[in-house]
Amino acid sequence: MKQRRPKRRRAAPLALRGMLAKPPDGFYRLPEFSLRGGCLATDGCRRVLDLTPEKICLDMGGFLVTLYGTSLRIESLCGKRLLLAGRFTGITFQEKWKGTRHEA
Amino acid sequence: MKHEVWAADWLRFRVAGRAPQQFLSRAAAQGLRLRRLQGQKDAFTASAAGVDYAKLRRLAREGGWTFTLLRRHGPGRWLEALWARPGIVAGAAVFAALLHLGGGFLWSIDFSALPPGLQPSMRALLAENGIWEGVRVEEPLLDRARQAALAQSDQFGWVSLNFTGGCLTVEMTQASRQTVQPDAPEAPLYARAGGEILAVEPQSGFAVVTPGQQVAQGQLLVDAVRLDRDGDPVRQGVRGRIVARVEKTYTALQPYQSTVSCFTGQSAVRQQLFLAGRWFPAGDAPVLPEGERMVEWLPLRVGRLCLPVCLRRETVWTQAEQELRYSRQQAQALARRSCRAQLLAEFPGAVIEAERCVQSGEADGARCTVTYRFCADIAGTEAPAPQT
Repeated sequence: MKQRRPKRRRAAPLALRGMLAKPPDGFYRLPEFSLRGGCLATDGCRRVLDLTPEKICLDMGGFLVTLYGTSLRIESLCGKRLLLAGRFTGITFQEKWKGTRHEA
Repeated sequence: MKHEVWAADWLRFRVAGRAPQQFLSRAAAQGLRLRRLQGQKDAFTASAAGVDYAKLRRLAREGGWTFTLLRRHGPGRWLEALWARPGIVAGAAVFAALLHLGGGFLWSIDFSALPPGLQPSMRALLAENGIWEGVRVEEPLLDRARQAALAQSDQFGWVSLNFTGGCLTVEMTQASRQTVQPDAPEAPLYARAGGEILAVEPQSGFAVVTPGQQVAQGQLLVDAVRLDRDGDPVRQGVRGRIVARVEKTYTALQPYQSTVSCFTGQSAVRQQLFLAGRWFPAGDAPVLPEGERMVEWLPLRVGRLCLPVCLRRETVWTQAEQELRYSRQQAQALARRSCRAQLLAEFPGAVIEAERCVQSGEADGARCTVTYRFCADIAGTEAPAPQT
């Protein structure tokens, strides 16, 4: 009688494993921005620290986000919802307590 | 002049001072929505809704910032003018409310679809059922009036009462008469008067006379039974006309004096005004005597505008017993008319060919004896009295 060969368990695709894996620490505290119709929108702005046509600095909780550009303005501010418009040239993220600076 | 309609405005303002970003944080914390923020050196400009104007000013005052109003966008010149005159809006609202409320009342009754002769009777019928100008019309009231109108089948064949927007439109069709003849009775027809037969028009039955024949009063004209060849009776209902030329005499006596009820020429009028569901006396309110009573319903109008008010005028024409004295000629004419009335009562539709009148005066009145020669239907069901 022919023996049945045991089936090999296929390894889950890498992308699926990544989706099912535990997110890194502090993932949910990261600032979130989305681009909507040419405007940059966020729901987590706690304070506006600086507001000039060339620079807007936002307190996003654990991060300080600074946007650089020209003709920068805030289209709408209501509670923690913020809508930014203008021509963006750069953005920096800085952890509030550690002082680590990231640029993009 | 700009009116103070802040609630409907959009503001453009400027906040200046030390660290004006803190103003943004405080405004955002209070739920105020700011738009089109543009930063400057130690200042920023923004737009906000007019309803937040007071909060923004208070926030700036508490933080020590300078609040400057740059521009306002109002609801427009017309709306601002309307807002400055609230009486216009209130008047329109009151007008709409009154229009809605007044639509339930009867303002006018349109009788134009009725023949002029039937309009008074329809007005009286509606008044008997509680419908006149000024009452609040409801569907049960209309149904009752409609049923009452249909019950008068001799006048109205179909009646429609449409109440829309305070106007009651009355439409109707006149009753069409359709005669349904009952079964002919199996009773023979006899002559009610003697004369010469001119026409025999039986619809059913067996005629026993022919045109040109002389008949006597009580003679059999149309029989209900005939024997067939075997001698068996054949029965049939009898109906028809037997026209004959008859000569008959009538006598009447008209007294010279008689007591009759006559109008005195005096009348009493009582007017009542129906307004807002109640009756109010209009003018004097006399106690009406007995007599011929006439009620009129008069709607009130201002120009061509009907009002939900109705005036009820009740007029009573008084009558009194009076003794009339006729002259000899009057009494003779009345006696002659009485003779003709007797003839027409006995032979309805009689065509008089000739008449001969003999008048005589008596102490208590004028006596008139008229002999008529006429053509009429003489057939009747009364059998002659048996001779003893």
